[in-house]
Amino acid sequence: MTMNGSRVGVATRLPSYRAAIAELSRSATLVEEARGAVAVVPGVGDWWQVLLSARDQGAAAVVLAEPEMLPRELFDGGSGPGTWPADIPVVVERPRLRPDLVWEAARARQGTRARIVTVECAATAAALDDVIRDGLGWVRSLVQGPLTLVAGSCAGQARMALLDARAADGTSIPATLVGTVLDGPGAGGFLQVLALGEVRTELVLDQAAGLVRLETWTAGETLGAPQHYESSARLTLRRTLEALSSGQPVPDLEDLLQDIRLARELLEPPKTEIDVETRQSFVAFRPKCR
Amino acid sequence: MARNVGILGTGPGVAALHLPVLEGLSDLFAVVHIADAGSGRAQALAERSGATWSAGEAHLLGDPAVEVVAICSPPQEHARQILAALAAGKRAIFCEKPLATTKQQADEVISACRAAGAVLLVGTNHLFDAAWGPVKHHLVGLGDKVQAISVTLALPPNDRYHRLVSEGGPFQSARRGRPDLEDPAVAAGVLHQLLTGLAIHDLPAIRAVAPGIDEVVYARIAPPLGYLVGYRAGAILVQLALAMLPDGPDALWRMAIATSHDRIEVDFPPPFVHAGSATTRVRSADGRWTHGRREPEDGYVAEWRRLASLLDGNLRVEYDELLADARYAIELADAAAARLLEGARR
Repeated sequence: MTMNGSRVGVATRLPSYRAAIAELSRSATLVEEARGAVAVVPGVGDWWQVLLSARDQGAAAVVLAEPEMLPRELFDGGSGPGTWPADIPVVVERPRLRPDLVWEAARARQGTRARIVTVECAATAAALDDVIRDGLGWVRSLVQGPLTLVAGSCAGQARMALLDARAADGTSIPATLVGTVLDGPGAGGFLQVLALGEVRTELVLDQAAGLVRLETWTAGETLGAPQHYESSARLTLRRTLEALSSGQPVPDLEDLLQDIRLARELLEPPKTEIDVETRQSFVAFRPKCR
Repeated sequence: MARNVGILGTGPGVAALHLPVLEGLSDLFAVVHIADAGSGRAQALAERSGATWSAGEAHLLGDPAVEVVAICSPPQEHARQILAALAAGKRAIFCEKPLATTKQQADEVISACRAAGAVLLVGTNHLFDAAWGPVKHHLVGLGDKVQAISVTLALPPNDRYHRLVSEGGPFQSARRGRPDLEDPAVAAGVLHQLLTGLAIHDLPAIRAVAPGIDEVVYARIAPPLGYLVGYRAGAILVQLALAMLPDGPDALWRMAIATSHDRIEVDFPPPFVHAGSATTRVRSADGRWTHGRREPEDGYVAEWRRLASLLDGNLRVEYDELLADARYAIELADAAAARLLEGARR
């Protein structure tokens, strides 16, 4: 590991991470080489190959910054994600799915299981898939279990899906997702997550409006989560340094790939709840969806 | 001059809702007769307002003092009682939602009302909420830019709200045995009832934006009692979610409409209480959120005012719209129930 005194080397050209290094000046320092350092991989294009390359170059850990969806071919091939050796930590920056916010949401629920989770997303056509993926990530995080797609449909560029979430105790919790395209200069990424039940969680995340609101409702009170002022990049880098220090495994990459796989499935030609064999008819329908 | 109202039904909706609302509109309406179906509850309710009481519907429908018949009985009675009221010569009817439970009934009822020239209003209170008119106007102006509509309900027991607008009790309708939702036929029946009984609040508003039901994509009963229904109406995706909860926070009753230009959210107040109109929020394409103000009157009051306007001749009864609303809800309920059964068979 590249150390400068007690500081961990971080190889990056991303301005947000250079700022984060400056904000963690006692723990991190900017370096040129990935070898022995934390390599920051921008999540654009085929970032999977860049991730592998950073590891091959001897990076001690990798930060994957704001990853886009990976091409479907990567999942269809045998050498794609899923073969990550997990010998070095990969910490993923997902500004729409900040771990501190997820933690706040889960803590405020005090272990009360949701009965239904609904997600509504809106973004530009280019960003919608990523927002849908993060919406699915919120469901997974709130339910604390994996999701499966039950049924889905599309109209124009809008998507709708029914999902089954499997909680840790084996309980099935239904979830739904609606994704729509929003045009305009302030489209950004919009997410609204509702976990309905004896405790209700409501998250509204509107990137263009600069809005993050997390509220937890019980029969007696409404609890608003505090604003999180730490930048997303600093939070991610700090988690990476903690992972290196503790040696504890980080599930970020596995979670991300799980969310991407499900989002890909949802973005494929839709299937009804009962008519998997009629998939062909939806293939014909697909051009209307894209 | 106040019109005399006779009410068929004595459930919580009458005791906690319509009687207080009508008292508040005493310049427009006076309750003169209440009839139960044999429970004996009519007397106590009628004595509150100095009205006559009876059992069954014949006495009320034969009461010459009754000008407006308010049908607040269980849904399966509505269509038959409308026809009975018309046969008894009544020409002004308030019918709680739903208008009918089958398309054939809906056709018969509307035909009969039209032929008799009867004034008919269905108590879909959200449709009369002051917040909905401007939203509908905005959406109609956007034309084909609506992409998705979702209606999300999370409801604690009604009892919580009955207690805020009524006194005494019992507040809850007589409890029946818990339905066996593992039985697909039972689950499909419950889903049908929930859609025609609860989702009906918003289905006329949805139909105004997304007419036609092309495909029910999924239909599920969600425990402990609720539903998840998704369907496609032309180029618009519609999602309905309901969770009826044994306890928990105050009601969430939200309609959200996603267009290619903005997002509109309408939050309706909890059932039964008088907390003013729904509130709206519009998220524009430039990232701005605009909050609409809450009007003082709710949809429950507004629907009775609308009936008064119809009776005064200031508005005309839109029979075709009423029929289309009824058929839309029944078609959706039928299709969703069929989808649920089909899924269970697989």
